[in-house]
Amino acid sequence: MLVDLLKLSWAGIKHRRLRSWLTMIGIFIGIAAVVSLVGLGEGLRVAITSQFGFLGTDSLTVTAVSPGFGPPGQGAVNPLKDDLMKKIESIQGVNTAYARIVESALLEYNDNQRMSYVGSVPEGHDRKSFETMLNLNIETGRLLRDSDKAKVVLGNRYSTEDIFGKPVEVGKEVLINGEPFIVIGILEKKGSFIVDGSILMNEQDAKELYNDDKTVDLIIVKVESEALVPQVQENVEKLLRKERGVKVGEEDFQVQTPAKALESLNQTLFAIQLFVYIIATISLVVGGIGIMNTMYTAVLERTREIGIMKAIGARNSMIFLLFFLESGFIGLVGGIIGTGLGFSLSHGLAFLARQAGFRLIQASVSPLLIFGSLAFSFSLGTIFGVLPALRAAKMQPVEALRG
Amino acid sequence: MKKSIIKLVKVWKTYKMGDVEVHALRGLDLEVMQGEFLAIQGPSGSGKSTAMNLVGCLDIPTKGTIFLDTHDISKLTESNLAQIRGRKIGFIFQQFNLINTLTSMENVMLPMMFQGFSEEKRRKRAIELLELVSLGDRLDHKPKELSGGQQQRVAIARALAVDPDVILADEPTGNLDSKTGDSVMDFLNKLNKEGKTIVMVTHDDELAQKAGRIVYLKDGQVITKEDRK
Amino acid sequence: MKHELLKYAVFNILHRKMRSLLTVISIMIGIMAVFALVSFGLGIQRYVNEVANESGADKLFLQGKGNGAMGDTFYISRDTLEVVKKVKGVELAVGQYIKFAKLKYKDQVKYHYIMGSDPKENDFVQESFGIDIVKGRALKSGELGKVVVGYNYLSADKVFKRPLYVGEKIYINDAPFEIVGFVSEIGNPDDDANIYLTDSGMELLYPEVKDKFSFVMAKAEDGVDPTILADYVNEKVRKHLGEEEGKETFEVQSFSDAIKTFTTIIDIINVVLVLIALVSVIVASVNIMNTMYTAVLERTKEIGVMKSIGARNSDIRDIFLIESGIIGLTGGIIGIILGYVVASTGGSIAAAAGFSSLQPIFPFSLILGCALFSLMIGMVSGIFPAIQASRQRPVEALRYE
Repeated sequence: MLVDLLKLSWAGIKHRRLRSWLTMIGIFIGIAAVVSLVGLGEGLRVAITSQFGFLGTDSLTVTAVSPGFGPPGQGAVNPLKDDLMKKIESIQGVNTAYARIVESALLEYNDNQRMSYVGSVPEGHDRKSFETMLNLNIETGRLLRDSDKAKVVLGNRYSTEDIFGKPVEVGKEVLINGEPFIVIGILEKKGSFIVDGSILMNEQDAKELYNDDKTVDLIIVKVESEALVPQVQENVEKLLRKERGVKVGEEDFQVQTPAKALESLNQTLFAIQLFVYIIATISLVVGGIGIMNTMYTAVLERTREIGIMKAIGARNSMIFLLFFLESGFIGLVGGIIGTGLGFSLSHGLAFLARQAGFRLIQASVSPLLIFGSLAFSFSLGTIFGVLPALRAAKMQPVEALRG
Repeated sequence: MKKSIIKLVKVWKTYKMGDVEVHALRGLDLEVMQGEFLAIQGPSGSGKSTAMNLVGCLDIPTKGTIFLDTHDISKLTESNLAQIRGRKIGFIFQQFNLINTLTSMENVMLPMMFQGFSEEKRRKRAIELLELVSLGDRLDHKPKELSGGQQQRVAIARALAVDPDVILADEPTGNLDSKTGDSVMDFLNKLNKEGKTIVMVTHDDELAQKAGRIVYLKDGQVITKEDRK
Repeated sequence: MKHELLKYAVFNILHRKMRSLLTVISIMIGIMAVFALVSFGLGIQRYVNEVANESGADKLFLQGKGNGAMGDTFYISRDTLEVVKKVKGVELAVGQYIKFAKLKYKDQVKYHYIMGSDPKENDFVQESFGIDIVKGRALKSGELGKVVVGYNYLSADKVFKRPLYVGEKIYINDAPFEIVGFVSEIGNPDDDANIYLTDSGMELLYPEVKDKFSFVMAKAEDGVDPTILADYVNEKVRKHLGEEEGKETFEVQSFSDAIKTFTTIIDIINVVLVLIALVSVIVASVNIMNTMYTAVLERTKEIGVMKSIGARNSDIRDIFLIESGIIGLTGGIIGIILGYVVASTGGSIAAAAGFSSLQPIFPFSLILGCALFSLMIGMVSGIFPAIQASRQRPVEALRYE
């Protein structure tokens, strides 16, 4: 029965070919815009969040309250003291705690300058577990040792010509904030701009470079197991409140899981995405109105046909279903074309953007997005088809036959 | 005594044309008996088309009662009427009224679809019926590709599709040349002999003579033969 | 003649009410979105230009190169400031300290920026930031325990739960300060929560940053082009610091250049949004085309009659072009009105959220532009249907059922 109605609907669509096409074009432009924007937006979001996802789920970060841009801890009201590590390590459930100095740095090589970040590497027995935690592997040269002085390991980005006009090689000298350092290793490519663009040096070197041996920018707390994270977080907060003499609710520091830190970033990205989607969706509403228009016209043009069908025994519900499905069909076909187009468009645009140097941009058109937009376009068609279909169903057979 | 199939009792049908009320039927009494060939004749404006719409359950009366097989159908909803006429009545129109986007076969299958016949049964019966009207070689033709006579034969096949008790023909030969018209009339006669009840609406005297009984309408009422003169 | 065609077109549009209405709605929605977005873009542009041209036209900006929060690891030293002051063409220069600080009022703790500069140059600083004292007074040289605070401290629940008053105490990094004045609104929640100190007040609070300014602002003398002056200052400071060209640890920009970099980003975002909104206008144009094709089809016979009584092809074409143009224009005008409502509402919402600088503007050129654009969209969409109509042969058209 349904199949028969579908066939009838299809015949109707085929009959007014040009106008059906125009209506579908309206839908597929809209769907293509939405699919490509969602695809790009999702891809960008995944790319950005993956940049920050290298810490793992069984760790906590401690930072002092700061303006919130630039490297962690910069501009902090009340920086973290470097005697905190021992105290945090004595909390039950804590494996180790590393201090990190993360500072903005001017890197110079081959007479070119580049702004980047210096990150310190903990010394002694913590070095190994830090390297494991960040999954640091060397591509050429070697990692840092305790005995290294004025030596750095650079992220993979510097091994290409892009940054300084020629690749930085192991053994070469670079200037960091004007001070000479010898490059002893290049890290493996990680795909995260933070790691790939970083400058790693021993903690002592970093303290000397920045003239500060009492404060740290970031403390990474490695927890024994993921299940203990909430409890350890609470205890670290308690300890810091006591150490810094602040009351609950007046904390000038933050203890966060990496996931939590990502959440606020995700929220911002989501808000932007949402706004863009809303604007893109407007075109779908306009497309839907186009469907409604086409269907009203179709009902009008086929008044006589409706009369005939009623005369030979079609119930109102069947006439309704006929036009309702026809409308949904227009939406669905528009949706199929639009999804295909949007898929190609988002991948094409992402490709062009990567060619132009925006290496982060990836398109991500998930099966859910494809299925969702097909379902959406069909529903769009049916929703905007309800009123015309009702008008068709309510026609009086005698009058319809006359018209 | 033959059984009554459709019976109109004191039926009024009133249309509103702006502020003026037009009475198309004024207390019409009409009975269609099983197995008869009835012609409803009258000049244009006599209400014969309205009468046919009511007999065919296409419309409901403003006043009065209509019985179909002794059931009162004058108060049914449009959708229920659709179901009844789809089963009981087959229509043949002056303008053939085929669906232009469908093939002959699909046109004949359509009423069966509305009655929920299986695809296989519909297909088989449609072929049978089209062969019966000598159109077995035109199954996949669209109405535009057929002559008027051929189109009317498809319409007849469609009217017969669900094997209805009554065939209603509204000026069935009005759009045909006389030769083709004759063959259509012969076919209706043949159906009548096989037991189908046929109601035909026409303004044509000669055509009406071929029916078993003639009812004259004027100003929405039945008049006698004498009144006509 | 044209007048009669117009009447005929209006009659036909009204005749198929539902379809005309739907088509008008679709173009209306598109124009509404475009109008609202562009009005916001123009508003932001004008705001920035005002800042750049009025208060920033003669100003330079000198800061250390670095990422992130200013004044921490990169700074401009006092002797550099002295060099800038002596550069020919510089009328005056002032160093600014900026710190992110803990603020406490009653039991509430908040974190915001505090800024400190020499009160001798108060006028210049206020002009640069586009602020005035709206309550109380400005700071005086040498005052240590006094502050002037941002506009948002005047209202409840913007920074602190309670509004603040002149004479009240606020704690900065646990040191007490007396509020002596309030400044006018800048237009975004961050800047309107700033706290202003004297340079000596800052140095007392943060002894480690003494003479290390987060940035330096300079004023060009009358008739001196700030962009050229910026290059000149750059050269002098570079020589003073003994740095090579292209490897400076600082940068000098004229105020308007700095702001224009920022506007470029906003412009790009706005253009992208408008492009996305234009998609809906394209869809609407397809709808108009569809409606017009239908109209041509329905009126085939009428076209035949007209031709048989002497209408030329161009008359038939004009009839349909006028019709689709009217549809586009009507949708456009309603869309502009609704867009105005939407943008104004959006502007008041932004203002309520503290972004009073984010306001749409509705120049006449925008209104006229959108109206003409919608008329054009309507007529362009009507071209193909109109041509089809004009080419119909009268005999066939008359025969059409």
